[in-house]
Amino acid sequence: MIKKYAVVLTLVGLAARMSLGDVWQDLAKYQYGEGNAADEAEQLLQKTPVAQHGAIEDALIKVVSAREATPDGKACACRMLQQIGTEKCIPAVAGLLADEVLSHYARLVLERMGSPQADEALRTALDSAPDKVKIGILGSLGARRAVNAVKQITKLATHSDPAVAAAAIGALGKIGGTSAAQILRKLKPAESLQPVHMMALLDCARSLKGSSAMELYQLVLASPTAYRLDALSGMLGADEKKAVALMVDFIKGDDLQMNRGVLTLVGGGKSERLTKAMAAVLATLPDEKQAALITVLGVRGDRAALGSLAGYLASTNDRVRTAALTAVSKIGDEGTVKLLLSDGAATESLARMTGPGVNDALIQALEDNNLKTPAIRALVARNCSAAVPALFKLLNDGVGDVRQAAWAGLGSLATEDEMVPLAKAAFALKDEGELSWGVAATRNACAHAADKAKCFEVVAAYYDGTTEAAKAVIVELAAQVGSPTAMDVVKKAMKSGNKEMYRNAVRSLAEWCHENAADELLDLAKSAPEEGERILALRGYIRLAGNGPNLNPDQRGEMLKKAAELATRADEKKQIISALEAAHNAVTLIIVNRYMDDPALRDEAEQYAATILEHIFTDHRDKDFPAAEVKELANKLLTSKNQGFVDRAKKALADLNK
Amino acid sequence: MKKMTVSRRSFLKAMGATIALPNIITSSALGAGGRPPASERIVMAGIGMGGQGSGDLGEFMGDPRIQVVAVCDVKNQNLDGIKNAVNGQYNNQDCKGYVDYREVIARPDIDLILCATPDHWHAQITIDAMKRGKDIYCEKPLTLAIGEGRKMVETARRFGRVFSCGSQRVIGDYGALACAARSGRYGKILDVYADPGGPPRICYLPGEPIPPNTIDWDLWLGPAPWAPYHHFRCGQAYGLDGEGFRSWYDYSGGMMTDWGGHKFGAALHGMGLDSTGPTEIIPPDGKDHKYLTYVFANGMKLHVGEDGPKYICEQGEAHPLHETKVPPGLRWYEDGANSPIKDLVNCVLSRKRPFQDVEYAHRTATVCHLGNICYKLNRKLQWDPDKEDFIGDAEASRLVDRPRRGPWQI
Repeated sequence: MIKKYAVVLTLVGLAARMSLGDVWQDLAKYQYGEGNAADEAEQLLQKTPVAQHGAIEDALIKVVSAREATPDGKACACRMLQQIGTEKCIPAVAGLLADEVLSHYARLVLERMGSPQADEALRTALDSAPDKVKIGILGSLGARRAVNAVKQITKLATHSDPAVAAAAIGALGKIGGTSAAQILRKLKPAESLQPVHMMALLDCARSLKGSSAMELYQLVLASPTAYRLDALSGMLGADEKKAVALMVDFIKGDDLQMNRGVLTLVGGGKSERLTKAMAAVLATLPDEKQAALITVLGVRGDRAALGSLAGYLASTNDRVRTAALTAVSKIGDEGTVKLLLSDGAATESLARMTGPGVNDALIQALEDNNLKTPAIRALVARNCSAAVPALFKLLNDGVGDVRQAAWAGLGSLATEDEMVPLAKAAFALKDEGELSWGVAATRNACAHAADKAKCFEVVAAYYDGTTEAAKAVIVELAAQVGSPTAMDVVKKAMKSGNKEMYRNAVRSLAEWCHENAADELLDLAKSAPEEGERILALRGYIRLAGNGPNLNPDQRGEMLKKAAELATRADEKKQIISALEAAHNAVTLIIVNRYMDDPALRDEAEQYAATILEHIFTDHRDKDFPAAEVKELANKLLTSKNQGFVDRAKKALADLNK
Repeated sequence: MKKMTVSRRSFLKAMGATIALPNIITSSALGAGGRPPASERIVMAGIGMGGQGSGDLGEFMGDPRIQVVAVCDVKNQNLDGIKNAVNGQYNNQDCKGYVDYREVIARPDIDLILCATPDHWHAQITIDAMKRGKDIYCEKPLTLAIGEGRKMVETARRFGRVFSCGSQRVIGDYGALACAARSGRYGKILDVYADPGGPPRICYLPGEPIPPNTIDWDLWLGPAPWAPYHHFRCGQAYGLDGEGFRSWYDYSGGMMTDWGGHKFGAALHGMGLDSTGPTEIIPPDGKDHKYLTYVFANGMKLHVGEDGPKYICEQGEAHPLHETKVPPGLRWYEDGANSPIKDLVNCVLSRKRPFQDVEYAHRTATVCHLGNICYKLNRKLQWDPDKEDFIGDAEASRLVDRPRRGPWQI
């Protein structure tokens, strides 16, 4: 509430000040760290419609021009003019260009302004500005591609200060064009400026075409540096034939940096000549280089290379063959599917293939006796639910491996719409091994269904008539469903008289996904026949207290209180501590207070103690936490070895005394 | 004790003498001691060695294909600690410490640069390094301004560089959900929600004396507007509480870009829109648009709210499936990598484009920046994702890039 008042008062105050024009007067006097003039001016600009920005610009021009205005105030004014300044502000802003600090703020306004008058202001300032400031102005002229500044900039390209010369050379490159090219070509800079010169040649070449560009690229290619890579990529546009020939040489050569760089260039771009040249050179390369080039031809994605690459699927070198598999899958389409299926290791590649006909081609391959199993694997990896009808047909295939793969595929791909026929087919199986495939498929299909409860209804109908092994799978599945029917199945298992089935049921409850198992678990935790079952049940109960999806904090607190009364082992108590965070109430406060006294639980308890104290005194002051318990907990936390926790405890005690 | 740090002054004196710089390939870098041979080794340097940078470097060093030979930071405290840690791990003194990154990228023996500085340095350092033939791992957020990102993409393409941005969460935390949303089980994606947090603000903190021998302040500022030193300007505190650089507009895009790198990156990945951008950005108005909303050309919407990422599809909200399968057409790490760092290392050797290739990272960062600009201007904006400029809003267009303080140009 106080915050709301503060915002309203600020806005009211701001509105009043706006009408008086105080904001701009204060901005002119502004110094960092003193008052709110800069923030207020910013807010005012943000709230003012674009149509009224002219008035704000006028006020900002006054700030920028005022002799008595502070540098900080002028800097702030420039920030705002960067957004709204028009030609009107240029004279005032240009007055700051020679200032060592404010020059950059002036360039914030001018550099991205469309008006040619901004060029003029920067050019005018260039001659008179101190050298250090010239550097930035040159940068702005370069960024603006101010062609009419080339002559002036040229003089500075041989300046005695290397930093000024570097900025001038860089600006010439950015501006580009034939005049700049002529100057840059003739320039013989000192060694320290050669990197800048190279880059300027390259930037400038990008503004030119054909032989004019080639001339500059050739200059760069003569140097043994990484700049040659940009020259090569630029040459692809200026003289493709020559560039491709050079790239082939680098692929064959031993210069590792150029080799890697050219490989990357091959991966991009669209030159068909380059694709063909690289595909042709493959056969001349040793295995390692072959694999590397095949890989980037795959990345390149040009189908012109497909024929050559497919030939390497039969390579005896593993790296080459694997690279070819990946590359062919990247470039290929439905026509390539059978080729890849013939390679047993291609599932991953087939899984990632794009193209509208790939799934259809894989489904068609299910009719080919030699390709059925790999095609199923690929369809599953591609999550292709359109394959489900074909997979049902394969459940009657004459080959066991195919039937097993089809069941696995259905488990992965079938949806709730296919649950009825899936369960019917599965539970009708007589062979124990085949039944296990079918039941596993129904379990998997149910587990990934959106409506698990509906699917479980179908499966549960087969419970009574099936084998003990299949029952165990259904009981295990029930935990992931958590529906009333699932609970009925588990209770039935508990009453079956079969000891192993009883244990299965307890395990299932311990993993239950819904709080409707809480009462059952609490009873088991108190009275299950064997200790292991009681432990499992208590852990399941604590887990639900923390994670049960529909519990409120008070319900969680009550569950944790009951769990704490039963817990005797340190690991159970630690599990309780980790669940306390889901509740944060008086009950959890009392529990952690008790656990703070147990050395075996101290570390975990301290973590939670710090968390709940933070919670109490930040977000939830109004909650009913017993002060005596809070004080006791904070006092215990004061003895922590963790300074952060101690600070938290001290703050809590101080807050309590307020 | 011998001081290992090469001073900026001594470097500038030797400027240009690239051949005079030590070519520090150690015997182990050449394949001795059971390590991979040079063709399968990557010699790297880390620049910006605060918490994130040193953490990343640790993961890189866990890969036997990597040898770290240089670390760089303008804060002495960061630099000394990490250099000693690297040398301690290798049990030698081969790793050198630098204050000025230009000394690092001038070394011809270095293949790969990790850039984990504050955001305002990312474009400058990575572009300069790519021009020197280095591959890049750059922490997210990729950029401070949209214009920087396009230049980074262009430089990577022109110089044949492998460039990965760093968000482990796009796949690690949110990949399974993207797989579900794209699996076809939920139908077409309609609306996505993701909330990274708020934008930054301009820093008006007063100056305070620079503690001796702690930081090269001018170099820390770099391309950002000059401002007086204050320890909260350059602090590493996380969040927008005003105690670290992420709070401030000149050095960061705030949580919008910081967590935006994760959440918007994940959302765009799942939506299949990570190589384009929105066409419209609508500020929240408390009525029709509860949250800032991005509208894409295909009709999908990304709303900045409700934590997320959350996909609302034709058949309801998508949830991770029982089994995570990467659908065809959904980009993923290469060659079995399980993190962006492993993915990048694989790609440096294979020359493939990594999962978080600079183009995708740039598109993610662009969405973040567009949100910040929309918040700042508080009006509906039209965006052309091909030209990467606003349509019919000159004020907004000014904010696509930021003029840089001299001598820093990209």
